[in-house]
Amino acid sequence: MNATAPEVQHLLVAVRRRLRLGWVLATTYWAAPAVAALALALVVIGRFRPWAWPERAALGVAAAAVLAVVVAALVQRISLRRAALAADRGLNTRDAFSTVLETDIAAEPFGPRIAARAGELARVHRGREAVALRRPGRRLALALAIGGGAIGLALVTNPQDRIRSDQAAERKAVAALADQLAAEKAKLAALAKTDAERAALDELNAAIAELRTTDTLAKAEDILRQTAADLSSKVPNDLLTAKAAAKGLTRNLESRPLAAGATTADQLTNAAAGLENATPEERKQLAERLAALAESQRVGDPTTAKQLAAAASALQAGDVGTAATSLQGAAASATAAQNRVAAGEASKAASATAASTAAKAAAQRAANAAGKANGNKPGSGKGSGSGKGQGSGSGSGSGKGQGTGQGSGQGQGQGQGGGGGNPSGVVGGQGAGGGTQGGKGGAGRPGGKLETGPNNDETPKLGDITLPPTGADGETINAGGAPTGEPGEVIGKGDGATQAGSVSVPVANVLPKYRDQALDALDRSAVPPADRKLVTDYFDRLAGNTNTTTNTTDSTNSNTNNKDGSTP
Amino acid sequence: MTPDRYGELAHAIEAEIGKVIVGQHELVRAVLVCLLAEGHVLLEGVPGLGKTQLVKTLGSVIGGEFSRVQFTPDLMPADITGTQILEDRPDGGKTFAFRPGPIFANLVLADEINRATPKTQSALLEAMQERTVTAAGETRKLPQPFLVMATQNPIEMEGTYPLPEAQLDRFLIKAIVRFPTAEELVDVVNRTTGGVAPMAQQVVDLDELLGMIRLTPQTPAASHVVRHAVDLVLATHPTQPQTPPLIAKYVRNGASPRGAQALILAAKAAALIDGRPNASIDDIRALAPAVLRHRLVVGYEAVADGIGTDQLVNALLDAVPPPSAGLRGSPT
Repeated sequence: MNATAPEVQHLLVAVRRRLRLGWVLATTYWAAPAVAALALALVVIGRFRPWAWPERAALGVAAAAVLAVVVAALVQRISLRRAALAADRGLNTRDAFSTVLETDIAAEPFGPRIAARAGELARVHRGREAVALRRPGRRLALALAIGGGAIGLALVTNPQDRIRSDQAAERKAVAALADQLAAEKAKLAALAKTDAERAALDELNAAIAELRTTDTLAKAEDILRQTAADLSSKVPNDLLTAKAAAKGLTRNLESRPLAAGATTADQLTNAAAGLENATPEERKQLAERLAALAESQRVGDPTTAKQLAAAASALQAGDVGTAATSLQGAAASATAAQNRVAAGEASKAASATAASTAAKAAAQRAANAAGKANGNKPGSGKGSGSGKGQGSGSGSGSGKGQGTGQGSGQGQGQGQGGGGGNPSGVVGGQGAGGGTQGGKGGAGRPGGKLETGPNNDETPKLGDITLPPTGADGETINAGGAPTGEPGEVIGKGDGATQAGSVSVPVANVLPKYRDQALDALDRSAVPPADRKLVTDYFDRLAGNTNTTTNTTDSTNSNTNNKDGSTP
Repeated sequence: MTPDRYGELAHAIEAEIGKVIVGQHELVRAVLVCLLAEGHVLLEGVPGLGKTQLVKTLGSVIGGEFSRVQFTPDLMPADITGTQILEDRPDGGKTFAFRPGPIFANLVLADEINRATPKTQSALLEAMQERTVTAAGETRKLPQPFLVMATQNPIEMEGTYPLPEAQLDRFLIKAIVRFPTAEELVDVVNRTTGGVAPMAQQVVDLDELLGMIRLTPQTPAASHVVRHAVDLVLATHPTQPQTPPLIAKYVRNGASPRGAQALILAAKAAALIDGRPNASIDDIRALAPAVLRHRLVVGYEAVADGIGTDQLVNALLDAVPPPSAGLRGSPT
């Protein structure tokens, strides 16, 4: 650009601005029909498909097109030479401006004349004269017509909106399920004590993550059920036995320590260390004790039982070194068994959590389906219902008592009655009359006396079997319920019919049967005599109070069996 | 010579010619462009349209020497370039002396050039291109300025020898001498039958004319102007990608590089005649038909379909638009 022609430069800069504006308008006129047609197509698609994005995409397309045109106009490089070309064409100046940009205006005889001519032309013309803006033509009219149609169509009631709202609700429900599962997992993780337990619980993370990307309840249910199945498959088949053995050994050593030590392994290890200094009498007593412990572990933890038996035999034979080695081996195998039990328990709890969440998903689906079937018009409602019926349950229990002896035992029993309908039915969605769904029945209990079990809303706790503080008469292992304070131990859990009702079964009617079953179970297992006696004493005590009946009226809380005062 | 003076003299020449030649402004402009661009012009038109009168008038206006050669089948090259004749010397001896032919003039009218044999036509080649004449082994310069104005009759093709492409290419412009309008014809009749023939006066001398001729090629032409001329010439070739379909179908050979040079030179001369100091796209496009029409070698399909070269050049101009800013919405 020649510095001696400021008026030319000024004109060319103005022409350049005008070129940008002209480009924006021309491009808009050119692209508007296509953009409008695309937007209309998206809106039309939105009327035939329940997708949530077509209308938003249509708006986005229009906005993106406008933005793209403006940005492109701003970033487009327009040199003064191009502006000069445009000015020459638009002003019909016979290439005066283009030539002056390429000419040495000081070179006689043409340079000064070219500069002078360009300057004169620049003084009498303006940028807007050089670049006339195109008037909106048929293309813009067409675009406006199409765009107006798209807007109108978007504003008219869309039959797909209801489907979309349902889908959104379903997505929200799935997200809530994921949140619930995450919260439950966090609760379980907080209770976890070992890495094995935490590792088992972490397997829920994949399901949670998958749920976060899932938008249908059906798929969520599938994911949860698959997760539950996967986790369940990791629960050892002999978990109950192994747990009973491990707990029995722990309790035994807590009540009668072999040596100093906070844990079973510590006691066994310390006992091994103290063998050298033990008297023959102490060694004899220890050998007997170890033999008894080995016998108690024979079924539930054969490895530890073998080590304990070997230690007992070695002590009896006076081989202290071998005894010590076996005791250390027993300590290691006992620790391994405890870890295995803990991991199994964690997997079981995680599986139960996933299954519970899957059940919620299924219930939500059923409720949604019922709502859709019953309600043709939008609305909201809340339904409640109650069911009646008979519930049945089954349970198994294991435990040991303390008092008159030591030992461990396992048992199974059939429960009857006690089906507590949970009026926690899910409201049937949008229908005027929402469907309801009864809660799960209460758990059966061995002997038909205790009623425990999770209701729909209660998540199984880590270690479905928990050990409350030992009472004077023994300790109770409560299956998902609160400590009952009753002697003996009960593990039971079952699903009843979804009915609420009042079913009373006299204990006296079922006690003999349950007693027989418990004794059968004791016979089938290697239960120490002390534990066997504990069970028989338990039933004997129950027999002394047979005037009490079991009455279940509400199973929303598994620990509310005492509400009606019917708990024995 | 300055561009301003150039414009003044050119307008004076046109105005003086206009006193004798009625109408035919495009023809006069074309001849003047050829003269100032140091080219030659081929005039095509039926007899009686004032071609000879135009050359004679131009000669008078510039003060140059004018000669006219009527081309006939028996015309020999020496009849144009000149010949050696035996002369008596003062001492009584004999010697050969060169007698210049009619080519030795500032303005040469080669009337009905297509009636001479190719051999005779080719005698003009050296004179038109090199501006020299070689006779009897001696090369002689032609006078400056030197302009050949050849005419050919578009009708009465019987017994003619169409000019070869090489010779056509040496004409800067091929101008079509159109038939005058009724008003122009009335004016012609009045001027030529009134007893006093109009006379043109000399308005420029040969030195000034040579100054103008030397100034013409110095005229600036912007790069896109030159490029547009090149694009037009390239598009006359049927194998080029930018060639319009009509050209691709009917043209056998396109214009040579000399065509692009001719376009630029003619545009420069036209700009200076107009009083502008630079050649423009408009000059190029305005002169394209005259400069390119005789440089297109058309096939028999064009003749069969009645497609003329002017149609082809117009198609060319449509297919090769003038350069613009290249932005949507910018003026074209």
